[in-house]
Amino acid sequence: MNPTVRFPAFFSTAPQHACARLRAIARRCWLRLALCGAAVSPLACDQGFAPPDEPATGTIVVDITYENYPDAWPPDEEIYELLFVALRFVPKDTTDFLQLNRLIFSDRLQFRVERQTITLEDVEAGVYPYSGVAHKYGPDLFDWRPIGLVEENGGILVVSDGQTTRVSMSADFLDPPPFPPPDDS
Amino acid sequence: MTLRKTWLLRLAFGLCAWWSLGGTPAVQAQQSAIAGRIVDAAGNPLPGVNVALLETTHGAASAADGTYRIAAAPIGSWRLQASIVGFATEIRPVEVAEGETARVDFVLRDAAVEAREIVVTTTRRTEVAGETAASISVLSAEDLVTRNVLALDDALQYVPGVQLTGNEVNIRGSSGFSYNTGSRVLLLVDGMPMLSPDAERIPFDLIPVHQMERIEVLKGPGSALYGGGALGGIIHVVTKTYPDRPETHLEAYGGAYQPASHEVWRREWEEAANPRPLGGVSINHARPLSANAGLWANVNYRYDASHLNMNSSRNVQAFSKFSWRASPDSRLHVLAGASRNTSDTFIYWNGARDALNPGTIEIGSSGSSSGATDNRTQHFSLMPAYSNALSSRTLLQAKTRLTGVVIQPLDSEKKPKPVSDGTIGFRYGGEVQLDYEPAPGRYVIAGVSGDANAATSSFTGDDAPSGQPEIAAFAQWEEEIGPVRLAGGLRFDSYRIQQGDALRKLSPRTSAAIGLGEAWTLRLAYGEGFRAPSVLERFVESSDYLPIVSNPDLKPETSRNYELGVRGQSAAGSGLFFSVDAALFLSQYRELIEPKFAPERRSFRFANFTRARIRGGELELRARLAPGRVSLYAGYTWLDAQDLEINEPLAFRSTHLLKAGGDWKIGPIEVGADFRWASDPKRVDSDFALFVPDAELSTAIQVLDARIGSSWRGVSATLHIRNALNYHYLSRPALLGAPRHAFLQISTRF
Repeated sequence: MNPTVRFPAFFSTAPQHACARLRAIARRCWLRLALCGAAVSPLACDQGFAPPDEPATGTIVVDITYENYPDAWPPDEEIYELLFVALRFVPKDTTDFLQLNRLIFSDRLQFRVERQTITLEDVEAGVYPYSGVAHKYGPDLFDWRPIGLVEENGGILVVSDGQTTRVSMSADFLDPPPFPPPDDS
Repeated sequence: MTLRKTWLLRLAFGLCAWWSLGGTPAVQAQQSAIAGRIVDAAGNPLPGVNVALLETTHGAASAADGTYRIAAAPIGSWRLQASIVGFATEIRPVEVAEGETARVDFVLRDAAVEAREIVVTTTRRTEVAGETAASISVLSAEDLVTRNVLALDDALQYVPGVQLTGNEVNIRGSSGFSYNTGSRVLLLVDGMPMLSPDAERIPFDLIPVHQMERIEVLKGPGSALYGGGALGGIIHVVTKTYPDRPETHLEAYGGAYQPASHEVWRREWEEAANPRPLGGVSINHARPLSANAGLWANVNYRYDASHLNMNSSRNVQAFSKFSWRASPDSRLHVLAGASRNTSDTFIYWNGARDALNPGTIEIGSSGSSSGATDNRTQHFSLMPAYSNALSSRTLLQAKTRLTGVVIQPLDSEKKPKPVSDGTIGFRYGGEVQLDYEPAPGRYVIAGVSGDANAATSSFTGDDAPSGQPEIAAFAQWEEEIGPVRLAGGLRFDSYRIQQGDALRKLSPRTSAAIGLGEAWTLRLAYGEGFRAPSVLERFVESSDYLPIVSNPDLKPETSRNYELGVRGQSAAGSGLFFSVDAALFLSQYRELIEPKFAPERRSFRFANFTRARIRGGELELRARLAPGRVSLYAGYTWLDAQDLEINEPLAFRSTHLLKAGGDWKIGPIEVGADFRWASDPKRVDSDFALFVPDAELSTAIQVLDARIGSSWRGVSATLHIRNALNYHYLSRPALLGAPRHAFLQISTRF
């Protein structure tokens, strides 16, 4: 018994005939294929989302002086964190510190020193209207307060592309600036 | 034992026996029958055609000469359906008289010439899609296999009017992107709601694609039919049953993602310079076990290295469906399965210049939040369903289901942590539905359902209830008056959201379908939807990184939808097939829920934040130009989505959605393509961008999927190129969509 196996007609022919058939198909369909290609080609020019250009950056150097050193320093267990922070906006509440995408901050500052100079590199260029030393005094996420603010140039820190901005400021654990800041700050 | 108790026991036993053997004495006593012959357009006999008496469990399959016979057919007026893959389904009226054999012959047309899709979602009973009074799109099993669809979310990308924003399904803009709020679209599997027990979201990997007979997408609220969750629409997965002959289908696919095209991305993640593999295997076997029983089984494995760092996944699924025709009038189906997904999950990027790496939010010494998480997620489900024709005009259906999920975070050695560190949840319930046809063209459907879930999660506080059990009752009436078919339905849902505190909701719907000649159907519809907030939304408590607190007072989201539509298709036998569906719709949403930062609580929490209006229009075209050779489709959706609280565009909604594609057979070669375009949303939410760099960015979506393949000696090979234009887009904030990737799919069926 000769079992009947059904092959597509294309494969039931000899290879050279298959090639001829392919050529025939191509001749028959070239116009439709070309139209499809023409329809798609404008879309291929647009590659969509691309990474933005590298942002302009500068450097901030801050000379920090702690007033009433060393008496004003609280015990270490009351210093949960100590950072220099520069904000792109003036905060209204400690909850504003959650806007992490609109602020920059340093590594942890040294404890129990009278002076420290820090350098923040690759800081995105722009205006930072509220900057200073932030003290986290408790375990809660919002237990933050400023203990000193940049006051030079009206408190506005301007970082320019490729430039270094140097400022001096003082901080005092016993006499922190008001927070939230008054409306005119 | 008293005489009374004995009598009661006998009665109970008798009822059980009657129930399990099925059928009323009246049905079985009448030896009426339906018989006929089924041929194709050329007059050739068609064997293996499934012939079913709708709204009953009676049916038969045609023999080699095309003849069929349904013995012991119930007396009355019925609709007889003949269906087989590759041919357009036909439904004919039939009158069965006592002791007589009604003869009904069918001439089935090639599906490439004319399609009459069958749907069940719109009215809870079988009807022709073209005549239904709702916007509904259907993806067939063939559509899924042709495109090598891997999971449910993958399939939905091809449905006009549906957009996926991350893992959230948008039907005509219903969902947007709402940061893990429960789903505003309900998932049904064979008519049973199947949202996850914990967060009430859609488990996309619950049912293997190869087990799906079709996916029906109802556009618009469906709470009057199916209850909570159907705020913006319904996705209904209808599973396959066993064939007449044993059948095995093997499939394997493998390929890779193209290396990242931007140097800055490759610099940040070295692996991005190499192709990233993906692949999988699937084994499916279906067979009749006896004259009245059969089985469908599926095992599959998938691996995806992902185009993103820390986003790989491995998925194993095993599923089976057992069907048993207990008597001529009764059937039992049991669907059971389990899946395990081990994955890194990429949550948000490290900025647009480092888009392939997850980010980190540092909050000084308070901790940090990572943009990726490792989890092992296991699902299991068990769904028995029983149906019984109680009389020639009455069908009883009883369905139950148990589904569970276990989510365990992985430790640094990729081993699962204890369940107490994750989530475990169960959902169980059932429903009973009675279909009654008191007169030809009049249908009454009524039923009751109950649902409960029990879940514990490390993300909920100690005072969280384990679930919010629900009971519901629903009723629906349909009446055909000449060319007009009117329908009205009402559903009452009651959730116990806390001890002594219930949430009650009444959801109405009404519709009219008006036949305008043979080709056109005009429809008007009004429906309401709602979604009760999940336990997780109401009682989430987490302070690990960002503080999130509970809000037990959350109100349910609600929606109202008005629709005017028209559907038409070319006359039968014309050789070509065209169909058009146009709709205008207006949806009003109230009390939409999203996590919002509450300054007074100094924390995030889920809150009812706005009301919205979405109006728009949709046009869907389908054509089969050369029978069996060329098919085309296109769907365009225009949305005007407005946040009525702030009078701005509703976030994350694209104004324009376009989906188009087609398949073309050129000799032995089949080529196909699908294109989808979504315009850039007019607005994205800004809260997320406060913490994640560049999360305020959004893009249009412009994706072309192409494929070319052929078959030889029963083996099919298809090369798929997804996102062939390598268009970079954001599938949601801070998440880059997949770039161009290609894979070869090889399958055989024997």
